[in-house]
Amino acid sequence: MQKVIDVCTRVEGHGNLEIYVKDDEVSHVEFRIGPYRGFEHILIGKKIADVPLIISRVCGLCHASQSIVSCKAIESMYNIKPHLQAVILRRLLMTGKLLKSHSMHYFFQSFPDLLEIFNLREKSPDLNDLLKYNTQLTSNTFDIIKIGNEINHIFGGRSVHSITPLPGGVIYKPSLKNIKIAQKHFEKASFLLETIIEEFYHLFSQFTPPEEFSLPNTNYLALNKNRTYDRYEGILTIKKNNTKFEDFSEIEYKKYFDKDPNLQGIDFGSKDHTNLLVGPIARNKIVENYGSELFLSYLEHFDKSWKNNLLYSNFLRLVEMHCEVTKSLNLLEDPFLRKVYPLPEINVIGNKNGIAVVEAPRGTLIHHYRINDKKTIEEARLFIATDINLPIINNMITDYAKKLYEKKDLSFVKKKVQMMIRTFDPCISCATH
Amino acid sequence: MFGFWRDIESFKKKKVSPLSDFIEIDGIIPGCPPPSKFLGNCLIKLLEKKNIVLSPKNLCSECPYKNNFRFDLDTEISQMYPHNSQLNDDTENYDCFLTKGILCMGPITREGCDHKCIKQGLPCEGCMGPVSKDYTSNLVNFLSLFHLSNDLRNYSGIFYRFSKPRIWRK
Ligand code: SF4
Ligand code: SF4
Repeated sequence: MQKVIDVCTRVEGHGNLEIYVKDDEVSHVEFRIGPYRGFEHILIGKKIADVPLIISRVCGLCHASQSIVSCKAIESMYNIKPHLQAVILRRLLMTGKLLKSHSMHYFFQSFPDLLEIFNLREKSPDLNDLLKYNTQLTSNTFDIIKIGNEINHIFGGRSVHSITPLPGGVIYKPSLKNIKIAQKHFEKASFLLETIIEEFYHLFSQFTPPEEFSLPNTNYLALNKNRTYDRYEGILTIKKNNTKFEDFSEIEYKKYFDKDPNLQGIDFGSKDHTNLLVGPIARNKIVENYGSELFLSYLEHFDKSWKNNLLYSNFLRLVEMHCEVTKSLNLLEDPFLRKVYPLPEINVIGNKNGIAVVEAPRGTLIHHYRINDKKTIEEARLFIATDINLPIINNMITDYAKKLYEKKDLSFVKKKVQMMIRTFDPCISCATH
Repeated sequence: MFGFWRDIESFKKKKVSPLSDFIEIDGIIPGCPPPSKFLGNCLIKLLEKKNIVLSPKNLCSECPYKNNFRFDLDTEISQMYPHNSQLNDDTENYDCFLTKGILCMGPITREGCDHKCIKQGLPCEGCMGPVSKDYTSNLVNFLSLFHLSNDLRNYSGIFYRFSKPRIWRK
């Protein structure tokens, strides 16, 4: 068996693509994530107050989701509920990071590929070509990335690895001036996103997306609140065979997957559970109401062939950004935002196991900690979106590579398969936690 | 078992070292995350083939609370973080953390971050890196000045914040 390894480019983190060729046929393809970093082991013995700040370092892109879910897990151990102002601030922080994460993915990773897939360009343009190809889009995207950073700087104290979220709440009292600045930022983002979304469907909606990118029979998993879009709290839902919904709470996650602390990756228990997809497409399949009317009018531009296609996730990312920006503008006007509540004391352990979930930009993120009487961590399990998606990624790229290899050109296979990997928007930093 | 997993036994024995242990480096851009202006300036310096100059001062030197530091040999450092009740009390927020018995890494941490954590009411965790060469010796000297509570003496998270103590690695 011949093994061909290629480094994945334009993805978050260091990952390899391994293609196994036997008897002049592709036997299987694997997307290999980089070296293990051991955050689950680092956490052992740490005091609970240290956990959100340590865990935030898992990833520079979705650190807000990581530290917020970690605060939520600790709160569930101590049976405390953060007050409303803290919830609003946490939602704003998550929106800031979503803006940065999604816009970077769209612009640097998928947009160049889309131009090539739909034959608008001969080959994926690099950053310099993109600048020349569409200067406006380039500057708009950089503006949105900047807005995402600024929002996190205002509400998080630092643009990356927010300081303010703490177990029990958020330590920050927004001034009127800062709220005004945030409002301006969001208004600008909303305007920029509308132009980007319009451009997206003008460019691509007239095409039929390639068959190879259509999703196999998959189960979808996403957090939602009575089928409305909510990334902070709610109930987990699995949609099976595109028809059957199964609701469960995060504390029951073991029904579907678990983890062995001595192994890297997720144990799905049985083969049936391995085809689980999380992320924007899963959210779209499960959520019925995004809380934005504009959203429906955008959807009309795409026909049925798009709806079950992986490439549709690029459009959904743009729409999600727009929905969250609209919601954030409402949140900024919430009277609770300027009310000051004391942080609750963290004293009496109610439950030694703390489990919490949020929907990170790339999908469902679950943290599970167990503490001992000294209030230090005894065991930690992190379930990361990209880890959950790995089996599907590997299945889809294997099928794709098999088809492509008919032309016997391995470098062509390498290039095309990487495009598919990028569409999944894997976060390798998170997955190697 | 179904899924894509890997045995981590071999990783457990591995040791993490800075890049400069292996190759000659052009410079260090400290911070987790590096402050954005500083990062930009460093990149410009590198493009101009100049050296990155790091501040020799520590965080305390410009700290807004440095004048409220009262050094008292009896002060016991017993907390890594303020309790939530301390965070709620506004009047508490104008004292140096060490005076309040909370471990702040400011004295051994390089300045340049604009005191981001301190301004939010939380002690410094040292993300800008050690002010002089070696973190461990800095920390030993620093901690020897104070009474550390028993709880903190046994806490591995001071020296091994983003790693696991070696003794636990089997
Ligand atoms: S120890 Fe911390 S709070 Fe005190 S002066 Fe130094 S940086 Fe400021
Ligand atoms: S106060 Fe300390 S931990 Fe906070 S940003 Fe500055 S150097 Fe980093």
